[in-house]
Amino acid sequence: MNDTDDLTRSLHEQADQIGGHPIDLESVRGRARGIQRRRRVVAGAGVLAVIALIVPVALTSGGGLLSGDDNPPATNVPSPTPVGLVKADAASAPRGEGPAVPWMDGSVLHQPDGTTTDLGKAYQQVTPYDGGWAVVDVAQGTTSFLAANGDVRESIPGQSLAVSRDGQYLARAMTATAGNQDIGLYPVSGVGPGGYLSSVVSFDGTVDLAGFTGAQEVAYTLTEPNGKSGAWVTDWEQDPRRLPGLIEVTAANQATGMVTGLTSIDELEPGSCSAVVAATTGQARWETCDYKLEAFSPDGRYVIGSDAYGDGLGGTTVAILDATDGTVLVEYSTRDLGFTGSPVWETSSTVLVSTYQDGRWYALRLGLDGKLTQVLDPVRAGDVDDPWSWELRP
Amino acid sequence: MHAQGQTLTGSGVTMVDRTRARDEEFSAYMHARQPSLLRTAYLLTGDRHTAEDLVQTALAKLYLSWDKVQQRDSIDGYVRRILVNEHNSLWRRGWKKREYATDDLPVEGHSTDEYDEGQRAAVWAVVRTLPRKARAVVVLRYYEQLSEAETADILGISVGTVKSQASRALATLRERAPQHLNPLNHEEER
Repeated sequence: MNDTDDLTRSLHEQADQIGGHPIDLESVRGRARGIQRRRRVVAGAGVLAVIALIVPVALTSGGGLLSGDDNPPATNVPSPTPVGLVKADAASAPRGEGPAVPWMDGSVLHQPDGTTTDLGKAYQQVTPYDGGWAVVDVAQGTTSFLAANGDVRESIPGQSLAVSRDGQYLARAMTATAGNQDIGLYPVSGVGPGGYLSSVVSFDGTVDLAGFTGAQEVAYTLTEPNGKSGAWVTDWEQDPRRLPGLIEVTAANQATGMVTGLTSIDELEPGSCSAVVAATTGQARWETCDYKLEAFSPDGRYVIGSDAYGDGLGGTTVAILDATDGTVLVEYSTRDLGFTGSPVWETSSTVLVSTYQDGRWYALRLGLDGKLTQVLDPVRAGDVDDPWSWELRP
Repeated sequence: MHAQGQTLTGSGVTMVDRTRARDEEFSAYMHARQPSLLRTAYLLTGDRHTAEDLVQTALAKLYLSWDKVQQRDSIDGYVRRILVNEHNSLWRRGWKKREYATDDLPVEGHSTDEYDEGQRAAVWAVVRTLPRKARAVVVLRYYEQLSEAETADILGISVGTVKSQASRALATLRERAPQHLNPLNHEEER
């Protein structure tokens, strides 16, 4: 007998002692519904995130809202020359300038101009809104609206909201009377309490907003009680319309009116396929099964691609693709080095992402040109504790 | 206003029948394989409650994919892959950290009985401290007795990585449970 035989015998003896409670079909179906919801929740946030983050709002370097002209819609500008695969070794990346968007580090909100505000608690999402901030507390399941100095103006249940590109409208999912699922559209100013539009989009499903696709139009995922999900668009005037072929919406871009979404998930291979779809027509522009498509760049020209299946020890891929045809412009890989958090757009040509490598978290800027730089000092921390929450941009 | 329930198409009776038949098939498989899946899950997780939860999630994912998996050769292989992938998945990492955030051998499992003189418990105690991926290799190779290629396929890693992980795991076991997992010691005992 050799040592592997001993090991096999030991494992069998250990396992044979185990008896569990029988699992019935109803519990499996219930769990399946939960999985469907969870997929939707994490879809826009990469494998590390446990929050559904939305929020198309543009910031100046000082944290104020930009007009839409600062991030004009994609035009026929030639795409950059594809760079190909880049090994993203965070430890050897040179230090560059700090982030150009706000970020949270613990309870402190940092702005690019060096201003810091202690918000009193850590939030997983921070979005500029109405001269202050809309912040999400995932653990509490609440969204709070803060003044610029961090004072809480109002807190509401739920964490599914979207802000229009010009910052003038906020949409949020809510449960209205009789249990209907509504999406409310709130003007940021000029209308008093109760002055919002409401669109009943479901009688009994759950709604997660992906973002604005037009001035007063949002894309969202609706999951029915049986676990089936689909991608929808509402404009508060006509009946919501379904985007065929998508089982959920991952991201939306108001500049181009396009959405990304999952077309299939394969637990067995495992993998998934995603498509870029026009919200107005429901027509798919292109589809890929190589990446899960995430957020569009603010101008809508590019789209982030992450690992097609978010399992294992974290993501290892952040790709930037041409949103018009799916051309892979650059793919950063941390394979055999570490894993990545949720990438967000910093500008229309750079992405910020946290990566974990050799016991440290690094904050990296990834460019279209294949260059990566550190934007903050590395932090030694546990591998589940991404120290930073990045403000998201469309 | 829009009612989601109106989007179904086709014959309701046919769909209901099909769903029922599908559920019956799935239930039959689930009941037959549940004990075996639980044992594998237990070896992967090291704790019964987590193992039960893992099996339930794996079965739920299999349920969602049942129509596709039916057309494939090995349902067992796929559900095993789901089990291992789910175990590795990040949503569960918080649990794993709390359970295994120590290099010390767990006290639990050191009980000695007449039959194995503590061998089983000692080896198991070391297996529980192996890194998650190494333990998955050990479970698939030495409990499920899959080939290196099959193990690599399920874990999505190369055969070379399977070899090195298995070799490293065995070395750890020899080092930390030498009296129980070393051919030379067996010779001496005899």
